[in-house]
Amino acid sequence: MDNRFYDNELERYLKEQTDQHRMYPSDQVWRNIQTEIHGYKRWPALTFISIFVISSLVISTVLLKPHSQVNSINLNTSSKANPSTEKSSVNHQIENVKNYPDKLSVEKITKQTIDKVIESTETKQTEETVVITESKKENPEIASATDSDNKQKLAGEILQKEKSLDKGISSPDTPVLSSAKPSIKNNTPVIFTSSLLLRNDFNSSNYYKDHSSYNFSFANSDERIFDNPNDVKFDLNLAGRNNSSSSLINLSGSSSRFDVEFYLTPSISYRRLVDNANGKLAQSYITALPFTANYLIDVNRVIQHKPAMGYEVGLSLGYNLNRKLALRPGVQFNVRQYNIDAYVHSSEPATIALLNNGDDDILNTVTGFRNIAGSTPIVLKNRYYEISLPLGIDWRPVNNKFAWGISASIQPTYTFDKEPFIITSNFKNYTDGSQLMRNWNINTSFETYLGYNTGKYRWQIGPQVRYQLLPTMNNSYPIREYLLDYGIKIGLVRSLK
Amino acid sequence: MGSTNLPGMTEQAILAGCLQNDATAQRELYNHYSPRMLSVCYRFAQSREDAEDMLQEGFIKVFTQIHTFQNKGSFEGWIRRIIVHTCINFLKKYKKFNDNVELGFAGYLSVKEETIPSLMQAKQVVECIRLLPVGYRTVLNLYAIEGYNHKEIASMLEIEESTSRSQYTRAKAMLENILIKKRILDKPEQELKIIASYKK
Repeated sequence: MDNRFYDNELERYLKEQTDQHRMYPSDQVWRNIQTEIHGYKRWPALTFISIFVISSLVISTVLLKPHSQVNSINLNTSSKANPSTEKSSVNHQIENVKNYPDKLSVEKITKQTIDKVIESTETKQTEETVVITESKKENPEIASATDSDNKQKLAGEILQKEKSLDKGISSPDTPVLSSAKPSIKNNTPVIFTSSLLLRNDFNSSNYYKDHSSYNFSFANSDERIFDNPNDVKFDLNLAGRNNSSSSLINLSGSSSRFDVEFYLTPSISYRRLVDNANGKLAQSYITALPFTANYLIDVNRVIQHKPAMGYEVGLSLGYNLNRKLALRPGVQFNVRQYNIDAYVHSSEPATIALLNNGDDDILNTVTGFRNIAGSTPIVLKNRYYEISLPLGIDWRPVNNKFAWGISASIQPTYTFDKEPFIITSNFKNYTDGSQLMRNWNINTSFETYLGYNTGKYRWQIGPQVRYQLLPTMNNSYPIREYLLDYGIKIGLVRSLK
Repeated sequence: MGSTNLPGMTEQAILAGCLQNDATAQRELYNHYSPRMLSVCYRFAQSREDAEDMLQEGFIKVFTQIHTFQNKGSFEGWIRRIIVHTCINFLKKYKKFNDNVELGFAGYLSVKEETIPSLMQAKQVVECIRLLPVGYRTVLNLYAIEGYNHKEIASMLEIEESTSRSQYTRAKAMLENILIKKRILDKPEQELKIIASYKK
């Protein structure tokens, strides 16, 4: 290098002026440098939040999980005086039985479940019922009992058998259950029985008997009697068509239409500004200010704003209308933010021209931030905290081991902790706009996702767009801000059974 | 190496920390020098985004090559040379030299009033420099502000030394023209006078 700097006044002037010049890089530059040098640094807060929320979800699910309920339905043989009434009643109850799976549970009983049930019929329950039925056949006196004494006697015997049966369920070594197994054919019809109801209502007309064919007794739901409301179970009774024998099959548990989803969505917030006054108000109120050249410029170009990271976390309860379609209300927390490049300046008046039902009004404030270049650059962060109650609909055209679906929701949203910086009418300053901000807003979201089903759980991941329908500020503020979030939604769905 | 005290840590401590790849020391170094170095980048760059990219590349080189600093001369000068070379390489890489403008066009260059804020003279001067075509601007920055001679500039830019001289002459004339138009400089007849605020 040579030393001819000060030979020329212009060069000296340039050197001195440029040496005084400072610019402040954005935070992203340092993050990129750090990432380049030290590698990717994980954000610990995200990990902790994820662990906390997932743990809360698991614990709450376990604590709030309903006990496995077992509903009891009665189908059994009993005597009936009037054959015609009996026949119609039987037909009616056959229909009930045929429709029973739909009534009983929201999901169809799968073939696997039936197979499992049939297997279980080879156990003691079946044997016990067969013993009861065979004893009736062998003893016409019991089968055709018409007088009350015989009924009482029969009731006592069957009640005793049923008690033995109950014991047999809990105690496999019960001797009564060791009798010969019935032969159950593939076309064996399914009959439901309720031993609990039998105990209490044996003398009532809920019990029928047909020696030639099946005999059904189907208890209405409001007639069910349970020893413990929290311990309700379903019983299926299989009976052979030809041998008139009946069998008991126990099905515990039922599937539910409900599921719970926890989701987390890292997102980036953008905003779109619309000058509702088209510069008219701005010009009329700030003609004395020097920055008039920008009035004809799109407000989005005047303001230097940059998107920033936000996130969304939420919990939703899904109600599956069918295998592919679900309604999904929930609760959700959002943080959305963006940065504004501004400059620090000494405090000065800042004017906002308002629109109030066609009447022009002015909001006078004082601020220390400028939009135009000033002394020290500063980044103003507009950050919004929101609570939403999303109501969504979820459609999964593909729902096997791997799933694919699309979902949309509308979200009444309450915004709190509001400290937004808004641009003044002359686009010269930023000032506090909290008094103009809406408390309530409406957002919509749309997403598509890929899912992976693992038993009761389904993992989901996919892109999501969230849009704010109403401007952030109320209608009196002429510049309308619409927020738009792009995110990747990660969800965990657990079916409730 | 000077004994400049940086906020929080001394320059020696920062240098020692950076040699050990300590993130805190690196952050201190970055915080202290990045505003000045971004200004350097901004004078070379087409946009602020390009300037930040240059700054990023430059500081990565600073941190990865800091062991080559031999305590001869100013630490800031060493950093500045790395940054300047990074800027030149950036411009070469993205072929930003292609829009050279002849001196004859200088008089027709429009200077948007609103692009130059009237608040800080240094900012005004920098903005005026950035109005120059990239080729002129680069030579002017290197010669008048960074202190490289034409031989060094020719080597850096892979041009003839005479080309560097002629580019500088044209750049200087164009810049004077712009500064006068912007009333930052006053030029009665042939003498260049710095405006009153500078004289103070």
